[in-house]
Amino acid sequence: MNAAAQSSRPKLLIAYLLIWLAVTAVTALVVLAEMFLGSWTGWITAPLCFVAILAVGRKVLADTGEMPAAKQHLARLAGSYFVVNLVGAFSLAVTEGINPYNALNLVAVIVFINGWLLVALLALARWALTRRHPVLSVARQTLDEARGLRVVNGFFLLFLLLIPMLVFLLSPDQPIRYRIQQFMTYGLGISQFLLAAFVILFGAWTLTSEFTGRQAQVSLVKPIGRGAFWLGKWLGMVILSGVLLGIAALTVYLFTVFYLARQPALDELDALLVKQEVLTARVASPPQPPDNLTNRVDKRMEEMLSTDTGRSLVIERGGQAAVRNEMLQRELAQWRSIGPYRQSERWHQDYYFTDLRRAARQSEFLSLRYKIKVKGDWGVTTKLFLVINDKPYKQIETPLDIVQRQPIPSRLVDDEGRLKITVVNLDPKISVIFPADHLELLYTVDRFGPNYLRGMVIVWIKLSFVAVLVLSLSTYLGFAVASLASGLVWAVATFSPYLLEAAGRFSAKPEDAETVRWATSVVRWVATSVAWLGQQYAAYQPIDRLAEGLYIGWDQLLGCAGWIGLAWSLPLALKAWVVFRRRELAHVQV
Amino acid sequence: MTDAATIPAIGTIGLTKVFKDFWLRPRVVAVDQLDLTVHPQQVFGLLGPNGSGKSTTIKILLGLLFPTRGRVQVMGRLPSDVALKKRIGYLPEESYLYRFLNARETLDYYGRLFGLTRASRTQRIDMLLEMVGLEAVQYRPVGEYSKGMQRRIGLAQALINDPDLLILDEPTTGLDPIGTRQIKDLILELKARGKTVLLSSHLLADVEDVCDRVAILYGGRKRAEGTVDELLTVEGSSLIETDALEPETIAKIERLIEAEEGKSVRRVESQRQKLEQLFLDIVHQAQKEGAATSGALAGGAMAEFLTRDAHLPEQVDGRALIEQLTRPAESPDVVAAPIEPAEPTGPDESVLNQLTEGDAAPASAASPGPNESAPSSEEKREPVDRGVIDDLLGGENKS
Repeated sequence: MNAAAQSSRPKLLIAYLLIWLAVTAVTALVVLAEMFLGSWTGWITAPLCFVAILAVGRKVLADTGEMPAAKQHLARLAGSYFVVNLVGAFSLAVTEGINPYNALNLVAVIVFINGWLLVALLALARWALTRRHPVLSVARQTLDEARGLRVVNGFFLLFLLLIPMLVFLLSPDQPIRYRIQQFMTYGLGISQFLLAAFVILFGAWTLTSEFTGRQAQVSLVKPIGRGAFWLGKWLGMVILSGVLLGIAALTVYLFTVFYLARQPALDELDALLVKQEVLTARVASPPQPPDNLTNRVDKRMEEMLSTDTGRSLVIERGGQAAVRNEMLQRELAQWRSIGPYRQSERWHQDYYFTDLRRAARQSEFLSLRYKIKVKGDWGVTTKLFLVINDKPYKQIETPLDIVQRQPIPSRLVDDEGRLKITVVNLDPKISVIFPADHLELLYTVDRFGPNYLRGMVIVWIKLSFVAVLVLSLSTYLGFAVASLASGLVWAVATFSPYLLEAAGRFSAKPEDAETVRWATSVVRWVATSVAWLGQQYAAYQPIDRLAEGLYIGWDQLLGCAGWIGLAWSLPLALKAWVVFRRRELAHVQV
Repeated sequence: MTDAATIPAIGTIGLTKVFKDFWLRPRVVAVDQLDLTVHPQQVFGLLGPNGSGKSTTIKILLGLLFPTRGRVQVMGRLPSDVALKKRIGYLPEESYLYRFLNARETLDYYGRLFGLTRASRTQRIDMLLEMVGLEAVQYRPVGEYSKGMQRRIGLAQALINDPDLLILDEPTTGLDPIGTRQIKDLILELKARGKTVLLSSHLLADVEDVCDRVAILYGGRKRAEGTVDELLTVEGSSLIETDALEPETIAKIERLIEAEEGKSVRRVESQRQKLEQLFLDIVHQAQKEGAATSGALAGGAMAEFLTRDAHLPEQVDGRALIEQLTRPAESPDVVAAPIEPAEPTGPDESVLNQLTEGDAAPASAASPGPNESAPSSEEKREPVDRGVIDDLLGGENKS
């Protein structure tokens, strides 16, 4: 170690100590002011103290002279976390109406852990990449690049600031379970969105800047293959997104489990449902269609094929399988619909749920999850009556077109693990229908923690794919085009279910001109094809499932790893390697 | 039969590079049918005006550009061979470095790419930073460096692997005369250690001072090749250098020459010091007097691992120690080509045969004669006239 580095170390330690003391002193000052003078003082003292800390920190750091850049960044980050601390605490104090001292402590703990976790995880990642392998060296350099860019540090700060700020959205009047669901959906959803945007923008930057800044001309004349160089960039992006996702996930988890879940519930049911429906991992069991339903379809099919008219109709509708499926779907829809009260034969319907013995053993309540639709404009609610195992259970008034949950005591499950639920439509004028996949019985099979972890791993795999996508495009496109194209693909893939639905409804009117109808068909075909390609990506939505307390199984995790992590990513990576190998990296002016 | 000793450090035959436009139509012929052979231990200069194809040639040798036609081999391998890169050091025409890394982190990153051990990296980084005079600002991000400082750190990264072949593209651009002198000293030192150096420049003094052989390019084509003396010696003229003479003595000499040879003396003048030397003397004097500066320092001694025996205990053989330090980490999978003294640099048949795989090599009009040989660095050169080079570069005689 040379003399310059040795001489800066003691100064650096003193600098850290002074900054740490200043942070502690200011925290204490703000808390004391709020306790004795009122919470409004926090809004004045915090900014003043922050400015003071900045001034002191700047002076102290300046006095250390030449200092390793990595440690300068750490010192800056440490200061940033303190700001996050204060903002989060005050927002919590204001919106939750709780003791500012407690709020400060709570957010301080969360943000303190998160802030230093970011520093520690980045340091750990750099340490893990110290081996002399060229791929690891490039990955390490990518982390250093992120750390060294001001815009990325700004993103880190925004990222850490945003999650505590979400407490503004929570209303103390809401049931706890809704607040938890809202916080998880927004916290994880926004984190996922921000991280995808970060991966796209920084991923495009880190590779394209190698070409525009010509650093690749120096790096790639060293003993590292182009494939290894690309892989190192990708690995760096994956590690970086993993670190940030881990911090966001931890923030939401800590805030949910150790704060929100411990707040006073509106009533006993609210408290129970938090455990039974949100902070849990449940599977959904749909009702079993009646045995004679498929028999009826087969019989009608035979009847149709026995006549010439029927046969030609089958051919016209796309063949036997298509027609049979259409009939089956109609029968199932009929089975899920219930006619007006005493106005039709089907004003009540039986639904059988089976294989519930394990569910009955593991949890006190099962949850009936359903959504009701009606034809036409019939108001916003309707009334149903539930009969369970032929015994009257409960009358419910349920909103239309919104997913609802009804707790069912598990003791009602019979010894064979069966539960019969008869739904009676109490409205004498309208028919109601449960849309496909919107009538199911939910029960717990795992704890919230492991389920949450699996969900976050799925998000990470999806982010890793986004990194493959953007780095692949960046091998031959510029920053702007590569990031825009990646963003477009990501958006289409993420929102493909909505796109498919929209494309299905997009059609020309009969009175439209032939050209318009033709153009409409082309647009619809293109949109449907593109959305169809992306739907596999959208099929893995762990955040919605976590907020609903739904189980995320290993099969889903492995499926996501197989489809998104391998089947989608490998061809893109291969394409990137082929293109990158053939690319000329120098532009010589002659 | 191809002997390993005859493998040229660099060999190109019929090398052509055509840059195309968006519609793939030929736009510029940057390099045109270039035949080049650089032997081990040679300091080879690529000389030419801007846009003559020097940088394009270098980038093809490094695998950054692909040739349109022709064959290229570097140390007997294709430029795309990753293992080959362990033996090459490259200083580009500008320092394309990561602005957010400091000097130490920069060298550490490139050292990692070469697979150097941590101890080896630390040792070499310390030596190189001292050598290029950036030790005091090693923790400052490279983006904050001046152009000259960036050139210095660029040079350091090119040497981190103790390369067998060093390719320097316009190495003295942006450097002060001290840095320029250091580069020249470094090149001569590396040559003495048996390294091969390819130097590209349009500065005549750079090339003249250090190169064994020179190829002059213009419009992508090689216009001349040979040793500096061969290219610059002016036939029909002699120069006698002595200490200052009295006018009477000069008059006697004039009479003697007229009597013996029937010729007259064209010019008699006092010897002038080179401006470069004058500048260096002034700066050295200022440094002796302890004058302060906020820029790069003059730079220290040559990095220990780049020298032969300097700074080592007497009983330690410098080269053996360096090889011991570098061999396991640097090139475990590359068999270093045996380094032999520079061979005669004429069109060696075995070399050409190796490159062409049996095809007859096209004879270059500018190929050097068979009696050429690379002069050693100690060889004293005659003062020469630069008019020939100037004529070739622009037709303007500046002598």
